[in-house]
Amino acid sequence: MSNVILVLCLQALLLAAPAPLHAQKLEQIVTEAKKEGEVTLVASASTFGGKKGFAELENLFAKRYGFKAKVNLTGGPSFPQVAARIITEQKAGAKSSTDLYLGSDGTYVTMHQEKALEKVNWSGIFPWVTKEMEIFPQESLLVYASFHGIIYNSNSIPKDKAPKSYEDLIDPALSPTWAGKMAIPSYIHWLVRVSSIWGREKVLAYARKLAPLVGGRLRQGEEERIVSGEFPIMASTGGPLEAMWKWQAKGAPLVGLPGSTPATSSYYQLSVPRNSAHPNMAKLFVALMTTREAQAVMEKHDMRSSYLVDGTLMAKYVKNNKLKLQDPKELNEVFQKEDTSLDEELTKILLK
Amino acid sequence: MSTQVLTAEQPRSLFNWSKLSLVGIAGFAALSILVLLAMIIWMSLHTGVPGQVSAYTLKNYVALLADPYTYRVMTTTLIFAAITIAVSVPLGFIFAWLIERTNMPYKAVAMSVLSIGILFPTFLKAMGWVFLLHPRIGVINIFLMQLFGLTKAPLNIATVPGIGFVQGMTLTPLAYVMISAALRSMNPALVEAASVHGVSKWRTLVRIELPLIWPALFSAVIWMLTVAIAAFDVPGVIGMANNIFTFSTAIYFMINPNEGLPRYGLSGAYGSIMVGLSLILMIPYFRALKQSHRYQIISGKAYQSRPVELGHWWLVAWGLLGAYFLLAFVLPMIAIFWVSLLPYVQAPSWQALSVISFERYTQIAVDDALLGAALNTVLLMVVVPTAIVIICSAISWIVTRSRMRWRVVLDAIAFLPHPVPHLLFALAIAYLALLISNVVPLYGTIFVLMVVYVVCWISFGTRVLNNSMIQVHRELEEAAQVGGVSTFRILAKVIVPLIKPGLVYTWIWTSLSAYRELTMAVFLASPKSQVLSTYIWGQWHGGGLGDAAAIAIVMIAVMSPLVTGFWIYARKLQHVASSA
Repeated sequence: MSNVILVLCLQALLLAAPAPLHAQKLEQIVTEAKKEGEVTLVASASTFGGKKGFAELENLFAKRYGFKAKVNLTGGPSFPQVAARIITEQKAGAKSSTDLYLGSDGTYVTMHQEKALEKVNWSGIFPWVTKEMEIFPQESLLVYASFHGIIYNSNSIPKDKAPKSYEDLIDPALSPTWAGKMAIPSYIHWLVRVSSIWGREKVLAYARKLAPLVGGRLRQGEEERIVSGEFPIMASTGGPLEAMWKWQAKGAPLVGLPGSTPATSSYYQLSVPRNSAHPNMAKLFVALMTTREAQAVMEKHDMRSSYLVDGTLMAKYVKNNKLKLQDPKELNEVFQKEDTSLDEELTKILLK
Repeated sequence: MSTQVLTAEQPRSLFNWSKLSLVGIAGFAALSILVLLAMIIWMSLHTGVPGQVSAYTLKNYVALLADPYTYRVMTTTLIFAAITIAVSVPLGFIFAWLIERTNMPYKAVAMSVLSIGILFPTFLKAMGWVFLLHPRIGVINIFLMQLFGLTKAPLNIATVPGIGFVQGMTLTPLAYVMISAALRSMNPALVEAASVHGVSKWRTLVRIELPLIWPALFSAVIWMLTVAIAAFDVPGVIGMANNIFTFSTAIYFMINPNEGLPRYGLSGAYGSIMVGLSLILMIPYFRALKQSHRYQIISGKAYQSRPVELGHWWLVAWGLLGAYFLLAFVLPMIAIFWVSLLPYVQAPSWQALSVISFERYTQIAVDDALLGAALNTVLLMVVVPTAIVIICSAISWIVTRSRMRWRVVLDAIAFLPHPVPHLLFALAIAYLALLISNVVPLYGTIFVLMVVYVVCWISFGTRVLNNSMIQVHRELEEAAQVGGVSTFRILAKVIVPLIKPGLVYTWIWTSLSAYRELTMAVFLASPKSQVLSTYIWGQWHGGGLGDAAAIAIVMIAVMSPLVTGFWIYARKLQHVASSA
């Protein structure tokens, strides 16, 4: 008898408990999202084509899910800075200042380790999302991938003196052209990536030679400062080819090239922070960004896209060039086993 | 003349509610200041982020003092501040002397030219300076290189002296306001005596006028020093991308790190040291203020000295003023406007002219987020000054009119936000808002910005209102008190009408400050509490130089008539008050 009561009690408890997130249906999410009415992404002001791109994405959102909602972009700090803010807000028990998180693998590892992201069964809920797109299973979806490499202003650096790889940046025969004027990223992940190819000591030696040539630091998305000639060259950015395509179309003198062989890549992902104020709207938006239509908006404004969505520029580029990309999950493991002393040393050499 | 009869309120209650309310308002404000200052020190004694349990520790101080980066940042900040002072105070003095002590023509125009300088947000001017004097893209540099066939840019704004120069240029109008007040109130008897005895104008200036106003000059130096130490605008816009870090930008990166979590404890330790240094700086500041009375000579009110005859030198004087106006406002604004018209930043050329368009402006017209930021800015421009006028009236009434024993302490607390860098208050309130976000969901709201603006500008409001209230004779108030009129009614019907110019001046000045402010806003703004300055900063920092430029031009175009109107009204009131 007591067993029966126990079973009944357990059943009652299970019925009363809220349904686990992975059991959520698309219709439920849509219903909840309608109540939320808006979603905000804090990222660089030029993300997904900036204001123009977001206006188009808002229309696509309405078309795909059958209701109108506000889709906002707020110009804010860099990927790692936003990640730090989200984690801080979570630890303090506050709502996240951004409903979505956009970042690359390096910072995603931190977000994953801090359990900062909401678990969503992306491929189970959204028919167009594949398992492969879930870079961190049930956490993040790939929205675009890019090689890492150099961008430079072709008016400031003539072709015969232009670098062809990261190593050329410290070549004494070439480097006087940009010595003291070169911009580097304001984070050191690009060198951590190269460390898997070069090894720790070579990366540190490289950083020591690079440091005296540095004139400033920029974040991804600030290519216009290279285009303008404020800095003639940027040692590394995510998506140098896309930046080149985008700016050359406007007649700007920008050249981009991969920095290493094999080219290191970044996998840019979107996800929902656990403390998002509009989690259901955020889920719909994340999934929307993996549709062919949303990818077309990104391509139009940023030349960026995901190789995992059929028909995109990047998918064609990878297919036509028979490129074997580094497995993003393997890259995550590299970052998870990251040598923190290397990070600290590189920060000391380049950013302090 | 209309007369008003103040009637006693019947019956009088046991407690003087009106007095209690004033004490309550003033006490709450003082408590807010102290809580935020204590929060900085508390932060410095903990590690981790708000919400994480941590024991009291001195680790942050040890880490800070052991890091060579700290000393580099401190040195850079001091050099930057010294250059800021070296530019702003001499220029401010020259302009103040020309306007107050000479017969330079069109003084009203000169005064307006300098006053307008205060109205334009500093970070917008800094953006303009990048396009003017950057060694590679600065139009002035390109022009000079072409003119003289140089291979290297002769001027470089992307250096510590460069950003110090820009900050100094933007602070010159403020230095002018501070020094001109001293020159205006300086008794000219000694100058007249020197003139009668045939002492040259130069000797009179160096041996008589400068010593007479040195306390004011010294006060201006200390003021500029505290402003420069905390300034985020110019170091943020020009310095950060060029590897130049001052106190404010270093703290910005501690709170918004590119690696790991925000280091509130470390920034708290930094802040506590800065609070200590700032308070030490206040000792010579107060001494200077105290000594200023020694240099006053009692004489008849109508005593007026002859202005110094400039002769043909007035052309040089106007040339200097004109050059300043051109460099400080006109050229940066033209540069920003030029950039706003281009698809990407380019130096002026026929080729660039062929691609200019107003496309960015049409996009701005439909930008909801920008509209939201503008509305938030207007909200701050109304609520903050109103709150400051109410709070500062209460504090100033207690300090100048009451006989409460602790009024001196209250006055000292109200003055504290002046020497302490304002970004530390922003940091403290961000930490506090995060800490209590579970109980009071204020984090990320516009309310947080309101509170910190009010707290930081209480010192300004109380200085103005203390001076105004002290001039109101006690007899009027005492007569009303004898008649049984409540404190509130005395304040409303007797004191407020008499100090109206001071109140309006405080309201307008703090409203304009709310419009210009970036340093505190950049630490606190969230998507819901964006203001115009942070919106433009977000565009600029995110690589949208052209968009940032276009929004800046719209901001200036829309807000300038409003703020200029404010300013003219404030000056009129000041004039009325001083003639009275």
